[in-house]
Amino acid sequence: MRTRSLIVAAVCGVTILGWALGRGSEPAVAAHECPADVGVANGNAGVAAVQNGRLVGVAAATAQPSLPTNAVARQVATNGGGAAYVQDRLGSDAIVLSTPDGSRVLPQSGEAYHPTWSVHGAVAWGVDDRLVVRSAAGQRTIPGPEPGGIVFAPVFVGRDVVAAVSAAPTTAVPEDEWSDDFWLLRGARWHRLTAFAAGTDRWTAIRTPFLAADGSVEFVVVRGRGTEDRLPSFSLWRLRGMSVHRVMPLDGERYLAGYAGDGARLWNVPDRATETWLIQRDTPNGLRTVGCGAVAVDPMDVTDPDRTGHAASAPPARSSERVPPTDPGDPMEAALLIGDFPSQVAADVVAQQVTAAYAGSMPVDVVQGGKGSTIVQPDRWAVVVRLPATTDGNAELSALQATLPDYADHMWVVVP
Amino acid sequence: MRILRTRGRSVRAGALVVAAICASAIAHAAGLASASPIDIWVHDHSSDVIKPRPDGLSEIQSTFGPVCGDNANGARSYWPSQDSNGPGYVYYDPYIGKNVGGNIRGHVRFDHKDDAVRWLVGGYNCRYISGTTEWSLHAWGAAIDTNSATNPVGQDHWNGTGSDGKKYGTYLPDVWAGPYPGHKFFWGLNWPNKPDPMHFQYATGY
Repeated sequence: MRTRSLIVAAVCGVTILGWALGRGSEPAVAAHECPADVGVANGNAGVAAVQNGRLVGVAAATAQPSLPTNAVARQVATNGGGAAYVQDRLGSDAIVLSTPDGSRVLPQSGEAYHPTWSVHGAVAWGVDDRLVVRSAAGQRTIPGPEPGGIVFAPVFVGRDVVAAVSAAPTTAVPEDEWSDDFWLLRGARWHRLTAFAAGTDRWTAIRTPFLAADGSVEFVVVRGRGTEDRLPSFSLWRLRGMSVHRVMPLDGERYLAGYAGDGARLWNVPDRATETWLIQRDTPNGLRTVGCGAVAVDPMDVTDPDRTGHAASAPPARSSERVPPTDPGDPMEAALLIGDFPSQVAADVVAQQVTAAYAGSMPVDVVQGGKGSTIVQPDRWAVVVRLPATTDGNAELSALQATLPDYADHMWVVVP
Repeated sequence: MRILRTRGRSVRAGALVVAAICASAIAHAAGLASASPIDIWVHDHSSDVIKPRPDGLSEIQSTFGPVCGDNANGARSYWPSQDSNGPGYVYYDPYIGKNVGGNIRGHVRFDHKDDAVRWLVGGYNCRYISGTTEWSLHAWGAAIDTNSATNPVGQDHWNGTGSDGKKYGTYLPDVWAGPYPGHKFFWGLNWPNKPDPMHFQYATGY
């Protein structure tokens, strides 16, 4: 009777957990080398980009002002012989307009984003929650449609401007991105174009819109969940008129970088091993590297000047710190926790499986969460495998997940 | 892949409960016993726990692995006032597991300062920095936000009001980022242009 019950329980648990659990595949990682002369290669591809802190691929005659100390160039847009880019500074940024006739540095009053050119030579960019449009008729600043929401990645579509707007933080998502949508600026009025799904966990981001030769706007949509430990999904979308639709899924992280002279799409693909943005173009045989550097994406090989304050002083100590700094204490031990279980008997059964997995070589306990517990919530139970003080538990976590895959999503490193 | 705090997690949690019920059907026959929890806080500021803090994207990636990577949320601890509904789990990379789950959480608990913590408290979060193609350090499980509702991005000071309405001064920033005993987190309030008082990260230069 006992044996038959154990088999039933095991089959039941494995079946249910096997259905409920699952492991994603790793995204493909690009590993190509940049061309020997990136400037020439980018120029041949028809794009300008930031590579190793320098603007490469622009026409030789285009004036380029030197970067101030602690400033970083990013987000380059070209128009014939001209280039516009963000001069990312400590504090408020600047927009640089470089043409064969000279260059102008336009200080901004906040974080600047993604300058873009119209076919008539006007330029638009985002500054915090505002859009700036500069043309022969002058310069105007238009408040964004959502107070506190960042206006970025604008694109001219005829006389109108389409811009992405990132929703302001909420109490549930107090920082970082959670909801982007496209808005159309026609005259002085904003019109919302998209309503992508987003919430406290599921999020949608719009990245790198470009005007295609047919007048549509193509862009990358990234969708993920904040709590998932895998890369989100990437897909190519198209905006035509007032409607959007998905063109195709993408096989990993990449962003649009514009179009080649023959209309082929150009992509920025991260090679994270070398902190390099590759520029690749669509070919019938897949993507082919034609250059390197960050076009509308953010360079990986430089630090945002606004996030370099690591030398700043720390706040004063408080008397609440009770242990003298010279006290070495006892070595801290991590543990693996499998849980949470609604009852002790359920945890006991899993503890038996865990003990068997280690062939009895590791101490395995069942613990109940109490009022002061820092590893299990009250009235829940968990299995704890105590580890030697010499490890942080990361390798042991992966090993136990591989041994007991049905429980893999319910295992954590804790400090009991 | 691990999914937390989602409908999917609820399904998975439900599956675990059902599995546990299946298991409990034979538990009495198995005649299993359980151990009592051990309730001792070990305080450790050695280099095995306060590990090297990466500087710059390259070191961040070599230390924490791929962004939104497997088990970047593989360590956890249970925090008071984690969200507006009360206590809950906070997840982060195991590289900082002992420092956060042992030292810092231990300090707060054994200093009897649980009430200094006020929602939202959050760790791992696979997201971009708004408007950029740069990933938040939360996407490596290398940053923790605490008392975020009262310490929003852009606020140039720390609001130490706890969940009980009392003022705790800079107790929490001291524990996370203070020089003594030195848990070595960098405090986002110290970013010069856009202070982020809720934010504590185990990295610099990013």
